[in-house]
Amino acid sequence: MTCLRISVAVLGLILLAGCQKEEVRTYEIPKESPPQDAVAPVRMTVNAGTEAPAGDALAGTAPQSSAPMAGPMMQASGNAPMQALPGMAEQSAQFDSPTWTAPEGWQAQPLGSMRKGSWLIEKDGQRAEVSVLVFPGDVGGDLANVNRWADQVDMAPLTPQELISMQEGNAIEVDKHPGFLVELTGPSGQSIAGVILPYHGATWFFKMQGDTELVNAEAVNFGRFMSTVRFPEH
Amino acid sequence: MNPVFRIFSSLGLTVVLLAFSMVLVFFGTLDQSRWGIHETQRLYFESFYVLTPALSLLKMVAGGSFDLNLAWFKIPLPGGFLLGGLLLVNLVCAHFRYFKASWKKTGIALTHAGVVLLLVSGFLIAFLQEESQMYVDEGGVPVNFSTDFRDAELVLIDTSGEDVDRVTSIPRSLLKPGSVIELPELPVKVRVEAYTPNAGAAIGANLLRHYEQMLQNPQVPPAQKRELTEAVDGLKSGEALVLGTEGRTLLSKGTLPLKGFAERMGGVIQEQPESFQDNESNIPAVVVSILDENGETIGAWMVSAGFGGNIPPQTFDYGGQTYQIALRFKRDYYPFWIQLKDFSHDKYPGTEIPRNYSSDIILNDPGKGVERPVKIYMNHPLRYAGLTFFQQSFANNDTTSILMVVRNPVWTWPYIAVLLVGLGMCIQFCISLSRFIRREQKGRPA
Repeated sequence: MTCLRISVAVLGLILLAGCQKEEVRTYEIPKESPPQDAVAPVRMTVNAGTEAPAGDALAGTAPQSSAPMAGPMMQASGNAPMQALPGMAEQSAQFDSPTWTAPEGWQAQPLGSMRKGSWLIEKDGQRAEVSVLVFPGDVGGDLANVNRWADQVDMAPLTPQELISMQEGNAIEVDKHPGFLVELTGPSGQSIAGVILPYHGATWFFKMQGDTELVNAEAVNFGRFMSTVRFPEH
Repeated sequence: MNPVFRIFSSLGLTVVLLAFSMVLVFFGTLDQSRWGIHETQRLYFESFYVLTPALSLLKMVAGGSFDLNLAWFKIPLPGGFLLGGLLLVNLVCAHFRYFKASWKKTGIALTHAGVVLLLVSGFLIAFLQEESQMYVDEGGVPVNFSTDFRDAELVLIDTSGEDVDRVTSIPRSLLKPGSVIELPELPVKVRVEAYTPNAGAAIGANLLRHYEQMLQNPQVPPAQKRELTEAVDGLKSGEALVLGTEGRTLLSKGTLPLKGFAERMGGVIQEQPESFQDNESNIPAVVVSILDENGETIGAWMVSAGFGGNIPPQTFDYGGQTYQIALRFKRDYYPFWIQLKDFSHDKYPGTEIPRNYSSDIILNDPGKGVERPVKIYMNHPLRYAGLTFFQQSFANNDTTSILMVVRNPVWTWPYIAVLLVGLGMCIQFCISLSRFIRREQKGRPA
């Protein structure tokens, strides 16, 4: 009978060992490199309060949708975070792409799940990338969006007054729709020339980012490209 | 003899328990097609009892599919913990009831000790073993953490340090709606407004448009149409923050002072049914309020483990510090780094049949002055710092290696147990053989 008690007690101890209560814990880790966005090769900003995504739109799926939200584990990499929530590409695809004519020398790139347009420019060892993205709404407002770009080329954020000056001084029309041109020359040799264009409740981002010299040299081509943009008739 | 002891030490009980074990394994194996291996393990073998839909599962044996109409008929079965525990008690009691100390029974004693150790280690492994995955890219940055895609954590990260980030991790098990979580090392508290184990996060306007378009589709079945209509009503009101799987609004914006993604992009969480498939992971999402020291709400944030590099971190300021807030798959950090030099995916010549997967890595542990190349391949894991790194899978056109990281403090116990059983059986065989030979020799005519 004693051995019965002992064995039950041992078993109880083992089960007790399994009852680990999870608790809040705090620890320090070495600073990590900012995550790389596999869709947009530009570095994502880590700005306080700027929630506007640089690359993708978000979307959900319907109740009882055929596409479950549980994504394949292969996509859920801790090192290279999920590129898109399930259904995002489907939602992004709902924005009809405008037509355009890309200048010669711009090498078309795979669009991934979200991009409407993507080109690579390489000249004399310098690189720049042109991307076209669209998001619903104003994605945080023009100031947040411009400052997100500013952060990508290591520039200090613009003040609201500076943004107003930029919008007034660089106002342009794309297919008869008003937008504004953003020119950001960073101190680290990287620059952005882009156009932010509100259109039918969404905001379109046309962006050329790369080595300053090449971005300046391609500014004329970028302007010509923008003049060829035509949105579908609604 | 005490009747309780008589029952627990009876060989009849052993037979009954082993018979139940076979039945449990039988139904557990069948049910694995529905639940995947991990959930089946939890339901059948890491539990004290299980209600198994026997008729539906037996119909599968007869060649049919799982019949939901018969799933109501469930029979209770003892779970793995109950059977294992009873077997352990039974074995120990039987040993003391029938065993008489003698060198002739050394083998039996060793074999019993091995089986006891095997059962004990089985329990301990179920409780103590942790599995996660480490993704390392060829030529990528060294990695010092692994990720458990079956678990999640809410993290508040103080990024004000120059070289280090201070991470406060709240385990998923504490994220219960309505609960207020104290954070001992932070001046703020977290109140959980809603938690969904699997959900998509959406821009409300997008989702509304998507559902309205789906409603135009005449092929949508009536039941789904009702759910969509309910979801559309919630979204149109502008109040829906969390939608249930059936379209019902589970959490309204109400007076929540929304910030970040929810405020700026009209973020909405759409709950989805949980998946238990082995190759899928659920994507949890949560809405939390951050409270200051006086219990006043600083703001409410919507975060999802599905937010990757496309969504910049959501932040809040308090007490002169900036904190990132995120829900992510649970991470374990290590004091060493692993860098992938080369991943090999060899195939048999002229075929697509895989011959070998291997990862050539550099293991770098500055604290111990370790920096050495290691090759990880099938049956040759890396064992380091109490962890075992197995070659599990690969991705990104063979440029990313996925290592399974297993922490199991008793991983040697089953080996020792099997050795004991084997040794005991050998010894017992030798003793019996020598006895047999002696008997034979005695009986042989001179």
